[in-house]
Amino acid sequence: MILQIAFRNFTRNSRRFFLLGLAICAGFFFVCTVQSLVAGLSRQINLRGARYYGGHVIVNRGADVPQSADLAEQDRFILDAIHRSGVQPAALSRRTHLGVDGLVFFNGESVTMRRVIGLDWASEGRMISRLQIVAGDPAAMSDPRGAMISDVTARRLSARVGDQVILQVNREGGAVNTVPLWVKAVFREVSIFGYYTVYMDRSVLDETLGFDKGYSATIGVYLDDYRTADRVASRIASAMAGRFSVAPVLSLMKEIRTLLEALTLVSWAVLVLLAVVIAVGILNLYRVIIYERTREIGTMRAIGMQRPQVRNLVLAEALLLAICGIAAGLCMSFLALWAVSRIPLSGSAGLDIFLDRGHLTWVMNGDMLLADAVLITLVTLAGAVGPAQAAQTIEPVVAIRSE
Amino acid sequence: MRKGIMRLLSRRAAVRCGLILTVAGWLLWPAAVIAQSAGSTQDFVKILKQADALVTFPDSDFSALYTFVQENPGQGTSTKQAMVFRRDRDNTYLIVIVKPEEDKGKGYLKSGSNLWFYDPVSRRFTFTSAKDRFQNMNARNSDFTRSNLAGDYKVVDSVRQKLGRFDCWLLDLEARTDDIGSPRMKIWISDDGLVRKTEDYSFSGQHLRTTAFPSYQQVGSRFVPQTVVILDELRGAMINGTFVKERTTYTISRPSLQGLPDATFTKAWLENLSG
Repeated sequence: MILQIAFRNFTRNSRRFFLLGLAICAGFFFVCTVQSLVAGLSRQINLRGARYYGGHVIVNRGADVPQSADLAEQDRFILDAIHRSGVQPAALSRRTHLGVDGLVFFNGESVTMRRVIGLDWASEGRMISRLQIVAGDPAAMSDPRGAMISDVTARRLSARVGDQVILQVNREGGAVNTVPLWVKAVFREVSIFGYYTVYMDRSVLDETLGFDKGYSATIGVYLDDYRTADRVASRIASAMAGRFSVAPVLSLMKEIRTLLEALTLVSWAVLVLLAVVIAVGILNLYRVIIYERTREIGTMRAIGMQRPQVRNLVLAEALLLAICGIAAGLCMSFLALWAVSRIPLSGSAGLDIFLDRGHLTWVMNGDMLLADAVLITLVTLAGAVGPAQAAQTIEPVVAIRSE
Repeated sequence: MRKGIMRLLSRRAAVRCGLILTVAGWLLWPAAVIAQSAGSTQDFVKILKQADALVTFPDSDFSALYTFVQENPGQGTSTKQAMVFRRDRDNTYLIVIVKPEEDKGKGYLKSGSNLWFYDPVSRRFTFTSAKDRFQNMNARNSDFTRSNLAGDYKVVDSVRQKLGRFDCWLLDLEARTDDIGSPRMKIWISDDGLVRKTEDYSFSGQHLRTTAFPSYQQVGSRFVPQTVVILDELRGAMINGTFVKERTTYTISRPSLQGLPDATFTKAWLENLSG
């Protein structure tokens, strides 16, 4: 009954609520857009980081390369710990990687690699194939002598798919070693995650570095939801009882993590600020509205409406107002995000690591939206509570008499 | 009759002798081979030690002016000069670039297994590796240290070969440990004990670098190359359909065995040089 009256009041006097609705809509639009963009940046970074480091959570074996027997025992221990932690990995990776000691030669040209990544194509092929491939077929990486190089490296070497390049590395002790590799695919990836990266078979890299062919420096866990990486990492770490270091992938990119955390913090700060502004705005506007509706409320009270019913009516109207404002804000946010994601930003230095093929991406997480909506609704109701209390105290005789 | 018996005996004796000789031969042959190879290895270690000794200055300091000419096919030629100061008994060297002007004052200080690079612009020392390229040329930082072929390598094969006008031993060397930059090497040592050519190979056998020592100059009782030519087997450029390798040629002039102050082999000296 109260809801019906509230709905009728709301629809028949939409002009009265327009300003309030606009404030709620703008607030929700702003918060939702900023948070969706930050979530999009975070997803891109996590996606790239996971591809680059071999998972969303990385178990690092440490600097010492164990003997074969110890290696098998370590593998069993790590896999058992992951299992015991209750984590359901989307995929597991086993990688060996090399820092700036790798050099790739072709036709007299050489390029120093920032990272040489040895991986098992059978277990990680699905993840790596999501790279933007500009030439060749990543499926051909099942050939142990295959290599995937970036378009920047390929350009500098004047190498194409099918060419044989030579990778030069230093063995564990420092002796120079080389291995010929066939370029199977050329990928395009942004600066730190790809310009000077080469993907190759792990056992071939291990052999070239003088390690056991079964060795992997890290075991990585890919997750279906990257946002759970911190929790999963601490669960695996406690299952390992400190034997090996376990880290979420973002902790390997400290500066980027700090940036993302700062952006998230800013978006929450903006949300809180907006909430306060909306609450104060609603409080004032509702006072005016209640003043304007004194006769109307008095009439309702005169025909038998009880005090709590008056209060509930005002709050129900505020609830409807919040719902409509949120819905409108959500629609506007969708439109704005869609428009922003169409803007090409490829040339933007520093921004490229957050972009997907030159465009900003966004993610609207259900839980994030729900939290925002609940907060805005509560703020709206909080702003309306005071005027609603005031409305219920209006005496019918006084109200009807008033101009 | 007696003659017949004697003939029969001598025939039997001859057969027996033959058998004994054959058995002895089979028994002694491996021993002879082992003895010969042991002798050969011993000889080659001696040859390597001699090659080391001829270019090492254990009793005196060494200094000289090195002039480097770097030829990058398709990109032109660049020249650098450096003063090299060596104290082999301490396994120490100090190199300071004197030309061109923009690199003047840059330096390298090797002390034991530590090697620092000094940049006069930032006035900072940074660790570098003996295996790194010297000034982005085809010489390596390790090329300026004392020779230790006999200690670093074992001989796995050998053959006599003529190299130009030199009769040489061509030795296939394998590093004794995994921390030697060039794990495999071919080396041509002429009969006068001097290294005439080397080829560096990676652990897997990839040819990396060829170095030629066409002539030497005598300094006291030791020798110093006059010119060294280094060809990089992996770096170069395709010029008119032919692969032309990068080449570094350096000449060593004004060699001296005069004693150097201890302060020469210090960071402070390098810093003071650039003001």
